[in-house]
This record gives sequence, structure tokens and C-alpha cells, in this order.
Amino acid sequence: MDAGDPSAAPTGDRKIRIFICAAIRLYCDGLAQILASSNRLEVVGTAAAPAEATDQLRRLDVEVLLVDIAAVDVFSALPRLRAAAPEAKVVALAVRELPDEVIIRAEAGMEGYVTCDASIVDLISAVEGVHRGELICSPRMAGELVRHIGRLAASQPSTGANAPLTTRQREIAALVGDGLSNKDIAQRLSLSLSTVKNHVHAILEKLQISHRTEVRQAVPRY
Amino acid sequence: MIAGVSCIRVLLVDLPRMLREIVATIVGAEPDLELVGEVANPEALVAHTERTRPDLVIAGSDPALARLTYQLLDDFPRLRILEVDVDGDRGFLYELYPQRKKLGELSPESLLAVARGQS
Repeated sequence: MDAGDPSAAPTGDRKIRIFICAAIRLYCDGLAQILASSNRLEVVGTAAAPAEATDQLRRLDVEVLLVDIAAVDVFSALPRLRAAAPEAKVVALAVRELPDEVIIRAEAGMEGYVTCDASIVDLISAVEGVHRGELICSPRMAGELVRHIGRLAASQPSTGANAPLTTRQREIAALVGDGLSNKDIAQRLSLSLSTVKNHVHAILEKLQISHRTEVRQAVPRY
Repeated sequence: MIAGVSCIRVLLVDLPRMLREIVATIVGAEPDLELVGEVANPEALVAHTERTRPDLVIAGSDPALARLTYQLLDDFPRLRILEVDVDGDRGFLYELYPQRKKLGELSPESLLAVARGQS
């Protein structure tokens, strides 16, 4: 195999517990065989169908679920799989090429997406990445996310004047209104002084006032 | 590969990368099978077959392959060709006298059985 050694030394203390749900046996059994030899992953189970997977997932402590999205009805099966293993991160394996809109909708319900053009080393990296809390997505999904964030930013002023205060900003504004200094607030909320300064600056801007002594009067509105 | 024992020589052609690695690992784990090469382009299959002399070609589903299959079987009558469909789900075995045998669902075990001529 020219894609590196999937059994390379572990980078963490413990193997990641992975479950494979794939209808195509060459992928399901083949990947189980290969990943089982990895020092970084532990294959705790496999299933050919979501119904079979959910029964096992309820009994197993699975950290990452690898699911072939071409083989299942992702929009009905994925929620069931997630419900059976609510703590598990989901990596989709697209064995077959799917339309863009299907991929984008499907990716919204998962943390990772890998195609059959990826190597097994890429797949292991994706599993490890989602386990660390990263989002592993296709360039198409990344583009869609950026566009979505752009639309949100355009429709909701979140930092400028008249934008609503965040929960943390309301908390800090109340303390400013009580006359606490930035240093006192930082100690009270276990925040760094610079973080508090940034929040106070944002509060003044959102409330459209120029001095912290005006916060008490302005805050009751929030 | 076992020293002094004739291994079944396997050539991989035009499989999706992950499937190619899976099949290569399955083949590589068997002492009586030998992976003699991996070819990305079916057009290069004839030249590779002449050079590496495989017993079995495991190939992805490609229109070019259908055309090449008959040429290969003419030139290498003992060659067997396992065509894997685009999903990696099903396989079709070509052998002289050009015939196409539907194998049904493929698994690591059935793939190895094909390689050993047991299917």
C-alpha cells in the first residue's frame, strides 16, 4: 500500500473507539480489517444496515461512527444512528458520487466527510480530527458554510450599534453598572483583564454610549 | 510471498483510491498472493500485463476495460479479470473463452476465492 502505514505509533494515550456502518462488504469488512491493525483506532463493531447498527450502538461506547452515506437514507437513518450513540462523532464515507445538494444537506448532520478517492491515511486523519472536535468537510461544504455565515452577518448586526448584548456582555454590563472596575470584574468572572476590556468596549459601542458610568442607565433596556 | 512457491500474481487497475488500498491490503496479507502492480489508467493495462505477467487483474468498472478485456484474453489466455463495479459492491469475472460470470456480492473472502480460482 502506498498511502502510509495505518498502524503507525499512537499519538494519544488511548485508541479511538470506532464503529463502521457500510452496506458494501469490501468497504465494511476491508476497512474493519485494516483499521483493526491500527494502533490509533479500535473497531468495536460493524453493521451493514442502520437498523443493525442502532442495536449495537446502544450497547457500545462508540466515539466515532463511520457511515457510508451512499448506502443509507441519510436523512432518516442518520438521526436514528445519532440517537443511538449521542456522544459519537459521525464521519460520512461517500463510496458513490452524490449530488452536491445531498452532500451539503448530509454534511450538516455530521462532523466529517470523506470520499472513496481519499486514502486510508486520510480516513484515519479525519476520524482523529473529528474526535479532537474538528470539522472535516468537503470544499463544497466549506464554501456553503462561508456563504451561510456571510448571509447571517449581513442580516444580523452582531457587533455594531443596536446589536443585542450577548449573555456575557449583559453579565459584565450589570457589574459595570454596579461600579466595579475592569480588574474587579476580571477577578469576579475569572476572565483576563484584556477580555473584560474588550467586552466593555463592545458594550459601550452597542449601547451607543461613550462612558462606563452611563451603562447603569442604559442596561435596564436589556 | 512464500519462497520457492509459485504465487498468484495480482495486478490492480483503475480502482478508487480507498478501494485500491483495501484490496491491496487484503491481497498483501495472503502468503499465496503477490501484488505485482497498480495501474491508474486502463489504457496502460496491456503494457503492464506484458511486463508484470499477472494471473489475475482486479479492475474498476470502466468503458475502456470492456474493450481491453477481449484483447487481453486473446493475448494472455490464462489471465482472469475481475471487474469490480463502481461501488465496490459487485464483481464480474472474465475468463477465456470470453465469458462474463456474475459473482454477486463481493467480500474479502469471495475476493480471495476469485484470486485462487475457487469461484
